[in-house]
Amino acid sequence: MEALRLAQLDTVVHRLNPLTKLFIMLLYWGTALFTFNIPVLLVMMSLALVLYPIAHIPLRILRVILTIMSAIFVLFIIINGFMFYGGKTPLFYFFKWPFTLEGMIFGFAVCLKILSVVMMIPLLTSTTTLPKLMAGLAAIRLPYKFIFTFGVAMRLVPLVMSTYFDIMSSQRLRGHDISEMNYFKRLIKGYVPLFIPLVLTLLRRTADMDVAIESRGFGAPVKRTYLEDIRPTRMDIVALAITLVVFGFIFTYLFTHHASQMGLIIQF
Amino acid sequence: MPDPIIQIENLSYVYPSATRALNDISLEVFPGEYLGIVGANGAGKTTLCMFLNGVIPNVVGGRVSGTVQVCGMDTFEHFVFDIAQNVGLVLQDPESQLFSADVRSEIAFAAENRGIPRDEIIERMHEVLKIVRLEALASRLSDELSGGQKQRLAIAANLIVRPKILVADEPTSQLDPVGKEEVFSTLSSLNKDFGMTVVIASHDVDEIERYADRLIVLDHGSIILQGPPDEVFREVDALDRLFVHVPDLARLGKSIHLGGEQQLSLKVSEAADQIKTWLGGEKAAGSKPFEEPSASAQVAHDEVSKAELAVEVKNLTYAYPGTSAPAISNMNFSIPKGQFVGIIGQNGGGKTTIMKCLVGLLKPSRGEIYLENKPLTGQKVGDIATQIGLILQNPDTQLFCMSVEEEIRFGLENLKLEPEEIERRTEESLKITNLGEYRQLYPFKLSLGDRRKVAVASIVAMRPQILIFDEPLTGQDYKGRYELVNLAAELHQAGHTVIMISHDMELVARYTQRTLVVGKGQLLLDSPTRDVFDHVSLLRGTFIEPPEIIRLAQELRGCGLQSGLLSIDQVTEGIQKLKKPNPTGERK
Repeated sequence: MEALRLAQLDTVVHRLNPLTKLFIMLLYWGTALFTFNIPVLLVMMSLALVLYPIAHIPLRILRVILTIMSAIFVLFIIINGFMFYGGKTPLFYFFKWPFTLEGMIFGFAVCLKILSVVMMIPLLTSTTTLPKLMAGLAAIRLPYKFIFTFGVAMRLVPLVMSTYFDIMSSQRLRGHDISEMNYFKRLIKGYVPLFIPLVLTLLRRTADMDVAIESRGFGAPVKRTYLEDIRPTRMDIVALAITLVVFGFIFTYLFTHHASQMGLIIQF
Repeated sequence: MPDPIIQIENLSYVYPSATRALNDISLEVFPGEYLGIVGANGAGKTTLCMFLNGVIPNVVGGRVSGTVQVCGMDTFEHFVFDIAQNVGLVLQDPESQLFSADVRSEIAFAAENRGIPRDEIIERMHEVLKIVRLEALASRLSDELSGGQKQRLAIAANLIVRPKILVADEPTSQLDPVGKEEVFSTLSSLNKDFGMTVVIASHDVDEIERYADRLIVLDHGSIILQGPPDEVFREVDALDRLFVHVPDLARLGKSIHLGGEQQLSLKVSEAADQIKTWLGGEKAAGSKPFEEPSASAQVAHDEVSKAELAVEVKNLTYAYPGTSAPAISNMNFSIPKGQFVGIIGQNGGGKTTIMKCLVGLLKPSRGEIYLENKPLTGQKVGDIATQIGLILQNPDTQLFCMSVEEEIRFGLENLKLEPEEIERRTEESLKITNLGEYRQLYPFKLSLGDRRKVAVASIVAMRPQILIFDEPLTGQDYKGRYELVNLAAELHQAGHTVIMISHDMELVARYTQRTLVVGKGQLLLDSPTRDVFDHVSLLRGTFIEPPEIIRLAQELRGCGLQSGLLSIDQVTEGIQKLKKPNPTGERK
């Protein structure tokens, strides 16, 4: 919901063509997945971080991401510390198993990779309105039926949420409160009184929605037009140029200095 | 006479589920006409609307006979997307007919589908936004709009392809009075200023009477009556049999005989003048005209001892998380046991928030609530439910069991009662709500009215002393609304304290003893119901219009009609009493 509202703002990043942003994001993701070099990952993350205030995305979103993922990160570092195949320098032993420095570093690098991938997502979703994104996807020749389904699904999310909360309160009024149940009781008894009304209500709503969509001429055999203007502007060219220069540097650096820290297998 | 724009001949239709919905309907609608369709739920209104743009039989299917021609197109032979160029369709539920993220893309959708060039879409968009008066909200997200705004957006989304006909299927049934007025005035302006043909199915007879050129009354899929609203609505007995709401003044006109051929006008001010003339000029001279009481003269209920209080609310304030302004602030009121109280006011004014605080779904930011002198704080929602029961607007948010009986038992089992006690209470609830014959049926198969009753039964079984009915009328026809509210009245008779939240002023006037007016998070007025409608400008500030019969009674106070009359019967009796002592006063 908040992403939708942020997407309505108007900043340099918002004004970029959705395809430009999509391209930059994919390039960024590709690079992040490609390398295990920690300094490079940190540089890339700081570049993304610089874009946050420019795009008026509140930094607390990152805090939320970090809170959600921190448990996974700790787990990753622990597992890799013990299991990493290239581990040579034991730091300590847990019974017989060594926790290695290389494993820990590898785990840390994996965490940075994941974090940098996740960090990029708000830079697209919070700066691009859904109709713009849909028009962008249509421009790269994705079938409109597929794009429209995606759009309606996005619209349904808040509707499903609000219906679910309504149902939850109406069942609480009859003494059925899942927040007071333990995990197993929830699984056995908790969700049935919530999900059945949810599914039935949504079925009714989507049947209505089907009528509305048909009534607005969906599927007419004419070439569809788009309200959103997504022709590239000079700003897109500038943004792409900067991106290519930055990633050009990164790749040159990686290939000349740390060829071993690329790809999926890493060697120390 | 121009050619009809809609021509239906001998149309009969059976749904794929074998429900017979339309029965040999023949109808002609002419360009520029405003046609109203009324009838009880299940009479065939929605089905008829769906035929006008070909959704039936093209999308829904079923068995059809007869013909439907719209703008010269046979709707059975054309695709919906072709017919949709000429016919716009607005549905009942604002949520389910908006499927784009924001206002602009919602409006553009139909035009994009038709391949209209971008520049033209932009030009038309300006035009359409102006017609539905949403210019200021063009860059909003759909979710940020109110109900009335959403329905106007749905209208705009249809207008973008410049259809000749706009069909609206109960577009106002889920809206508050403000939203209702917004939608009706938009439709009226489309009809009057742009010559668009408008077809609207609705339960809002006052508005239909005011705007429509012609009216058809449906019953079990057949047209029973048709003609100008002014004539059709005078068939009071026939409409009563068909469970169609009759405007107050039409009903009054039945018992007030003005003499000769003259009939009571269905417009309040005209009717008041007619009655004044009929009563004789001298009546008007002697009495004081209606004066609005000052808003400061708030009349609270009689003081009762603390032990007799069902609800006591002290300094109640609630702010939703993430918002700075409280939704309700510093509210104080108390409700004695056994009272029937109405809460009225515009949507977004705080009614729902109060209700949710009372049943424990929201924890007050400040202030206290006592139910029968026990503080609410620290109690679980399930326990509070045994003291105060809330019957929600939409029964479908709670029904999930395979039978009505099981649905009633569910709450009782959650209370961990003994099996015998559960059995006893289930029987009792079935009896109170008259659902005995449906006990084994699947609740979702029942009509909306009966599903609501199942919801009432399942709450009443938990034996709360206080009952809250939240908008018991949404989506109900004339028959259904009285069934449920009569049930509320019976429960009140049986000693329950009943709180009813409603936009329907007629019901508030008819059933409640006391009314709280809530607006902008404040308690604006707390007064006995018989006086509440005298505060005309205060009510107008929160977009409430008193029912027509009460407005008429107010205009007739100048002729000596007593104050505090709320129902048609009371007003009829009052007027006849005024007439009696002066039998020669009749004028031809």
